[in-house]
Amino acid sequence: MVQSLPGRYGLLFALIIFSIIVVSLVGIVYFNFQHDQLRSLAKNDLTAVADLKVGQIENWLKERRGNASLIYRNPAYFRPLLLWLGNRRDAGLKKEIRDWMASLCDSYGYSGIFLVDRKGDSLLSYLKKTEESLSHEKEKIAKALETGKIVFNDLHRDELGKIGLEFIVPILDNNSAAGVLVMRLDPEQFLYPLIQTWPFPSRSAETLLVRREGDEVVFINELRHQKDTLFKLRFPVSEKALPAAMAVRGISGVIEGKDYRGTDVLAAIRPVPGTDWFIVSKIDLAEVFQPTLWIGLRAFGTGILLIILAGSWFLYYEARRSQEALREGLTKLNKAEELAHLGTWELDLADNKLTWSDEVYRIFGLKPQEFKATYSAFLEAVHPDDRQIVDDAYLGSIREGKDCYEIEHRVVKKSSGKVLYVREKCEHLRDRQGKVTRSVGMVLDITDAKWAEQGLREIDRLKSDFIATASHELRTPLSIIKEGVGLVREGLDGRVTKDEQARFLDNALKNIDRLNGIVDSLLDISKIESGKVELNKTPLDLCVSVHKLVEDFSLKAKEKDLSLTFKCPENPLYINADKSKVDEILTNLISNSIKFTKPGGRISLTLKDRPGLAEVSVEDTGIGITAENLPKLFSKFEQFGRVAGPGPKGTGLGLAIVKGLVELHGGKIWAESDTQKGSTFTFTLPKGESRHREG
Amino acid sequence: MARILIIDDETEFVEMLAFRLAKFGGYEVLTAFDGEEGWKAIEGKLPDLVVLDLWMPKLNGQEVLKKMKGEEKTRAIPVIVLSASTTKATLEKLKEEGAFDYIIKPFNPPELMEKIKKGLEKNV
Repeated sequence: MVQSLPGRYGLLFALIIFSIIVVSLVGIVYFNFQHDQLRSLAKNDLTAVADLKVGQIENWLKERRGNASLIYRNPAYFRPLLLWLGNRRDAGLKKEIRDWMASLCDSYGYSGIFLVDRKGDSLLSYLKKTEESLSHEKEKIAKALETGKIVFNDLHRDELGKIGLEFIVPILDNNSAAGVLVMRLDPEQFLYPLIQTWPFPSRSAETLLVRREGDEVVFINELRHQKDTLFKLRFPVSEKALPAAMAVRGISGVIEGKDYRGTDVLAAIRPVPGTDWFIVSKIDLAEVFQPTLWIGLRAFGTGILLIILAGSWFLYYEARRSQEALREGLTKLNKAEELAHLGTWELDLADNKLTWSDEVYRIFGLKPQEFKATYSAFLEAVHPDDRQIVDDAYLGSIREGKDCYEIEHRVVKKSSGKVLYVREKCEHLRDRQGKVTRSVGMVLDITDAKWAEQGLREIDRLKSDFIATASHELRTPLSIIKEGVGLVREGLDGRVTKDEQARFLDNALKNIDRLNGIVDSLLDISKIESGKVELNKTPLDLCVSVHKLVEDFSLKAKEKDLSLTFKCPENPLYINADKSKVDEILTNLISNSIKFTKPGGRISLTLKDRPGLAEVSVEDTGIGITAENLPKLFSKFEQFGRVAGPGPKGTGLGLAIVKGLVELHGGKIWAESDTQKGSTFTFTLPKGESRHREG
Repeated sequence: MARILIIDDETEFVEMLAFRLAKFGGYEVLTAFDGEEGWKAIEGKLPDLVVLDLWMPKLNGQEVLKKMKGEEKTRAIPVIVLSASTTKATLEKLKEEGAFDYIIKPFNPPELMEKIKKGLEKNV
């Protein structure tokens, strides 16, 4: 079943909608799956990073604390210090202590070491970079002097903005502290780089080191997204969504919140054991889910691309199908036009361009390359006698505001010169102002119909002629009969003698026979023409038949002083024919010859044995037939040799009947004539099987 | 006595019509059996009226009429066309060409006699 074009486009639309829904649903499911996957991955990453950093810091602090403990527990280290504290003028010892301090700094990464006495004054120091004070450490130093135990001085910032942390190791002398060693660590050396590194590329991830100070959470490392915040950036501990605040509130694990920028983040919180610090490893949610967005966009784009491709393919396929259908339609139309002998045309009046279908070219016998395709070129192809009426019909219809017209005219087919009859039907197309812009029309070749119409007219004319002639031929003997009988009747009062009455009645009787003959002939010709004559064919020796008829006519010929002879071939000439019809043919021809040959003339019959045929000629020295009349000789009611004056009258049907009978037997008949010499009628009949010679 | 010429190739018919016109009409009757013979009779004997058949050998009735109308001395002779043809259009056309009247075979004798009488009166 062929689906209509709107139906197919409806299907396309439904398919596109369906595809969009399917792609969207798949996209949503896929997006959610990806979202969860990415969240889970990020969570794992953040946890791993936080754990890693906590471990590293813990180890680092443990090492540093171990170093401090090692010095604290080893009196050998203190001995030079105690000696020098006892005698601070010992320059050698001082140098030795400084060298030791330098080696400690180099070996363990201290940024500086101070030797502080019991009063808290810094007596000797080794600093790797710049001079630093010990203002922030005094309290802790006092605590170390007092307790005799190592004191950890947490990260702090001094007035100069320097960040540091220290281990304060008491120098014990008989269980009391003679002084302390302040071993300062610079966080920039290890701690901060450790915190700031991230194990994989990221545009938003960072690790925060925070601690609680009163009701505030303090950021104690340099931030990635906001500069110069060290120890300055503070938030209330109560800040709900802030992961750093959550950390100091004791929340650990992976949470979602808003960081110091107010940006949505995913964060892993871990406390650093042995410190007040908390590690917050975080990453922007936007970065976490960015792949999802890309995947979603990519999937959506792929879906849309697929829909576009499918739609384009469908449209291309439709266009091809339409083109093929159009081509097929045009082929069929051309064939239909050819079969119907009906062509179509279009005339564009704006540029006088005429377009013809193939059939119009066929009708006009022109090829596209030899036709100018203009209105005037078309007129030239019209029959010269019809050009004016065609032109008048076309231009007249435009002038008179008619929408269409129909006309019949002739065309001279250029390829053959043949004259064709065509019927043109034209319709005008107008613009909004009513001006004709285009004309479209059809040309129907009606030549055959015209000829058939003329043929029918001819048949009708012949029929009328036949009826008129038959009527005339019947009325003539009738008028004689009526006049003869009428005169007898009128003469019964004695004005017409008995002899005259007898003569008139004879005339009437003779014409009754004549009338009867005409009726018989009409019936015969009617039967022959309608094919209703049945032939009773038997094997027949034509010589015998001709001989017998010649004998029958010999008396009649003698009466008119005519010589009637016949000549037969040596061998019998057999035909397979209806004997009565053959006799009728011969009788008719011999009678005509006797009728139209003047006394003293000759009539001779000749039989010839031709291959497959028996040929009979009836030759006379009669009045002959003119060349003009010869072709009409075998037509009905033709009596060219009609004898004037007294004598027998023919029906004018005899030769038509003869011709019909000869042809019914499969033979042919023709006549040759010369008005000076006479006529020869010849007919042939197919030869048949021999049976016996008739006697 | 008015002289009437009958031209027709049907001999029996001519014989009986001549008898009628002579015996019952009291006319002098001349006869001819084809167009040529008829035309000669017209020219030679100048009848008062001609009864003319149409279908005849040598010269048909229409041609004879044309000849008569073409000659000064025969132009006025009334012609009654007597034909077995029933094509009225042809017969009417003959009247236009100069025939006085026509009558169709087989005819009604009193009607023919009446037309002959009228023709002769016209000729007078």
